[in-house]
Amino acid sequence: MTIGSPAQAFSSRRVALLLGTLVAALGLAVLLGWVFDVAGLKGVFPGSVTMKANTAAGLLLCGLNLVLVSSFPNPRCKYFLGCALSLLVVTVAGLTLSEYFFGWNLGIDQRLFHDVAASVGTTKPGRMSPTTALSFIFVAIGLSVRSLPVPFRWQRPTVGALGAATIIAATMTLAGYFLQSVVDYHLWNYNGTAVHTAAGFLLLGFGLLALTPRKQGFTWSLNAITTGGFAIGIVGVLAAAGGSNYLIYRLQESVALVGRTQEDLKVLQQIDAGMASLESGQRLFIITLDEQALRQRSETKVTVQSYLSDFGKLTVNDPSQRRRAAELDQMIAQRNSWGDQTITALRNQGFQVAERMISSDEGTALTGSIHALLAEMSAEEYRLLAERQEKSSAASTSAFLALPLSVFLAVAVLVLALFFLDAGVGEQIRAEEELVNVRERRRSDQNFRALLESAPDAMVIVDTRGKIVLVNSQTEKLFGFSKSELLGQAVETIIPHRYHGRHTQHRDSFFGDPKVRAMGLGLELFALRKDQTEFPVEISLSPIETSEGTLVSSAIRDITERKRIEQGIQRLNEDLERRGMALEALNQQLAGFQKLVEGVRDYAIIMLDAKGGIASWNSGAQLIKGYTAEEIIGQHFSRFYPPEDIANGKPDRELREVARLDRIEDEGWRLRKDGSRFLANVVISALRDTNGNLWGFAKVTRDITEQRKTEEGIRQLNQELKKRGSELEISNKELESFTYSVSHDLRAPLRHIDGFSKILVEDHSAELSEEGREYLDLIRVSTREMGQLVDDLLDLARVGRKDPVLQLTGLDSLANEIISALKRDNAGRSIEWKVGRLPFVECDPGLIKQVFTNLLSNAVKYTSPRKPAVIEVGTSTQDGKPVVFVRDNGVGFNMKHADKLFGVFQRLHRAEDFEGTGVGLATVRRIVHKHHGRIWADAKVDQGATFYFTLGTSESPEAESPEPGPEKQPIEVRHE
Amino acid sequence: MSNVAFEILLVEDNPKDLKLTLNALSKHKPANRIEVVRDGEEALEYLFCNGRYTNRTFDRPPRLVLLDLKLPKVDGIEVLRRVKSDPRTKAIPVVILTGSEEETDLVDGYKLGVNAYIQKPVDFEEFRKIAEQLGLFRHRRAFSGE
Repeated sequence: MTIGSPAQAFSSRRVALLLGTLVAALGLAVLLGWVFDVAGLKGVFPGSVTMKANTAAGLLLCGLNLVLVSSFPNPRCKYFLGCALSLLVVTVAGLTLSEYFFGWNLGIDQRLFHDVAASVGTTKPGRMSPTTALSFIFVAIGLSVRSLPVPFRWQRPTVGALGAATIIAATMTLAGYFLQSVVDYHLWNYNGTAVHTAAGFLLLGFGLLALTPRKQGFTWSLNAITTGGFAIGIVGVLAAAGGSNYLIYRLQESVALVGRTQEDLKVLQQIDAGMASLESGQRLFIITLDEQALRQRSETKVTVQSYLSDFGKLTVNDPSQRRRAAELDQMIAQRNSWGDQTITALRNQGFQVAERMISSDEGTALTGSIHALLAEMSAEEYRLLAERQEKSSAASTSAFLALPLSVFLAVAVLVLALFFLDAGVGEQIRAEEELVNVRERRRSDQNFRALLESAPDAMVIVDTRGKIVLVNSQTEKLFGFSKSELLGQAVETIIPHRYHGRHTQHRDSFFGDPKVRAMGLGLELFALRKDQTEFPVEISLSPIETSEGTLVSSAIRDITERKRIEQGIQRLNEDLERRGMALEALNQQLAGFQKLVEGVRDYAIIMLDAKGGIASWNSGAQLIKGYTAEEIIGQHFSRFYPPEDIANGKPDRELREVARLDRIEDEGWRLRKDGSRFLANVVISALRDTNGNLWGFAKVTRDITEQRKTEEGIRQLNQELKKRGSELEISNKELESFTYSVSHDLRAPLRHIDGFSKILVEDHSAELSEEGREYLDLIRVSTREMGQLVDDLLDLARVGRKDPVLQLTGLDSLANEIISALKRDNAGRSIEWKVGRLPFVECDPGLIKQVFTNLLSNAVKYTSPRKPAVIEVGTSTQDGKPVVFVRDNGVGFNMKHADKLFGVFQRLHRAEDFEGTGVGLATVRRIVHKHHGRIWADAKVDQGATFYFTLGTSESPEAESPEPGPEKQPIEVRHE
Repeated sequence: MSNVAFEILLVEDNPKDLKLTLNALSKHKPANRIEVVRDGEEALEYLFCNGRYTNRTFDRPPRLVLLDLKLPKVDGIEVLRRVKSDPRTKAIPVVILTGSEEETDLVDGYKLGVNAYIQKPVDFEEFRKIAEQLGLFRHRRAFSGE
């Protein structure tokens, strides 16, 4: 079975739905017509057959059933409902039919409504015609079969057949109506079906057909079953025809018989009349002796005789009547002979004799018995007539019934056969088609193979399991395998091993969504030859739908050559690209250079052609020489030269030299546009092409007039500075040696004062008074102070003289040394020492030791009021550089006077509060500065002080020299 | 340890310094025999037993030489060098009298063989320590050797 396209099914359904609705509406309308007794609804034409109430109800139910069956959805209950409807209809129709067949009267015909007996058609009022009943059965069964939830093979043909049968029956009825009304040809007794009933069935029949949509139309073919069916159908038709014929014949026969009987009666009456006429004729003759009467008599006798023979003919089949007829004949003959005798007697013997004969009872008795016999015969005939009329009526009914019925059945079987035919035909067709397909397929297979073989690429066909099912000879050539070696093998045989896993995945995904495409877009694909070498390939895949399932056809192309070419092209491209990029870069550079050159304002950068004509100009050239680009380009560069140089031929000479030396540098006077001179530094370079040919010159000119002046000035300044420097150095040296010798020479007398005063104290204090001793003490104290001062000054001088000798020193150890000494010397005091990590620095350890000594002893000194004194040494960071600090919680100082802190002899505390020479910090600062460091302090009165110093920072130390430098940037003067 | 009196050669030109030094040295008895010379030349004559001191002999050198640096005629460093480079006088301990640390730095006496430094004014304790260090309180060493 082929199912029509869903669209077709859909529209067919719609059609069925529509038809069902129409029929149901029709049924309902007619029912209403019965309710409200609307004659127009019951019978369309006045006086025509009405649609019976049962029929209307049945149409309604069938219409609803059709709607039900053709609608979606299909729940089980729908099927059962449909079956219920069908069952109801079938029951009523079946019962009606059985009424016809068996002559029952079940009282169903007038259940709903009373019918008028006058309405023509069915034998009983209210009873639907047999055709209608049969059509109902067809339709109801057809609908139920169609709506079977479980489809079976013959479902559609059955439904179709039933529908077709219904259609044909309805059509015949409608045709009958049509012919009757139009042509007035009574086709046949259209079996009492109302016209709208027939219409309704027509629609139902189409509805059934609509439920069996077909893709193709009917096709003819023969096979056993369908032939048998068809034969049965034909036989059926013939049987039906024969049957009908027979029934009609019988009907005709019975009717004829009735007619004959009626004829018999007529004949008998005529005989009777004839006899009476003879009688009277005889009498008349006897009375009138008219020959005419005699002649009439003999005519009548002849007539009677013929009647008799007629009767005899008519009653050939009826023995009793024939016997009587014979008897009658005899009697009539007797009577006639008596009549003749009478007449003869009259003629011969006269009237009286005749009268005597007439008045004798013989004639009368004869006539009487003839009458009696005639009456008997008539009675017999009447009886026969009644009997035959009865028979005729029955035959009529049978024919009435059976004829269309049999035709129906025949047609139904025929149509069924048609459908089965069609179905079977379908089978046949399919088988044939199959055959044709197979042949086609074989042919297309061959074509396919031929195509495959002719393909220039290797074609490999693979099934869903990845097995090779077909290859062409190109494959053999390409891979080195023979066809037999590949067929049935896994396709991975020709794929390099490392791709196997992935390939399986890809295969599966391809079959999941098969479409024509190139394999592995963007990937480098390789294939494997029999000898296990690899080669690059391009593969395109396309799915092939076959009856065995989806296959993949892959066209494999060896692209080694192409790859090679591609690579070559790629290299070329890369080359070109590189060159392009290089060019671009060059262009960029050029643009950059041009901009650079253009933007330079301090240098005149110009290009000359090979002859010395000016080819390019920049803003610097404009500034220096005064010409604009427009003015000067094209001119010869010698116009920049002073006349005396031009006279000398300097410009050309220079060019020649450049050509020779490739580059010359010259200083000389040049002319500006306004004629003024300036001192120029000129560099001319030769520009050559790749072959070394000179094509131009690059000339860079600088106005060095100012510069020269400045240089002179600087030189002079330098000289002065040198002089001053050496003077300073001399004076420094003098100062230092002065300081040194002063200090040193000051020491000796001090030493002596101290020494002798000590002797006085040690050896002669007894000779002194207390006051004397006090003064002596003061002398000694002063001496010591002076000694300290001298020492400090000597220190300061010493530091200033020498450059620090740098070595990597751990400041930790330096500080700790001094701290230990201080601890020893100040054992009596409570001092808390906090020493942090100090860095390793490049420094002169001796000098830095002095720094620590000074700072730490200061800390000790100025924390003397504190208990405990807290002195902290550590490192902090400022601007990323290490800073050493010495912090104390001593008396501190006012930051207001901080600038005096490091001055020589400057003190910020009173001498009686804290001893000190005021030289120490100056020395410390000198040392720190000699290390290119910085020293500064931070303090609060009574809250202690912190001294910070750095060593070897990149910052320039604060200028110690008070001498102000020149206004301009100081030029570095190097000592030689 | 008993202070064995020993002979000291004091080379000092400044009279005041001289006085102070002598005072310091004589503080603690026993008095040492102190020979004083007033300049470098004389010191050399003394030590090398020539000039004014030809009567001297090398086998009886002074136990110690206290040498001032700033001397007229021949300065202290020269004397030191001469003494320490001559095998006859090499063994004689020489202690330099310095006026300041400066001076000490200026002279790398140790290189030249000086045995110790004393700062002026001479402190006796200091002197005693050094003398002890130099082993001057021990028995007179045999002249030859070292």
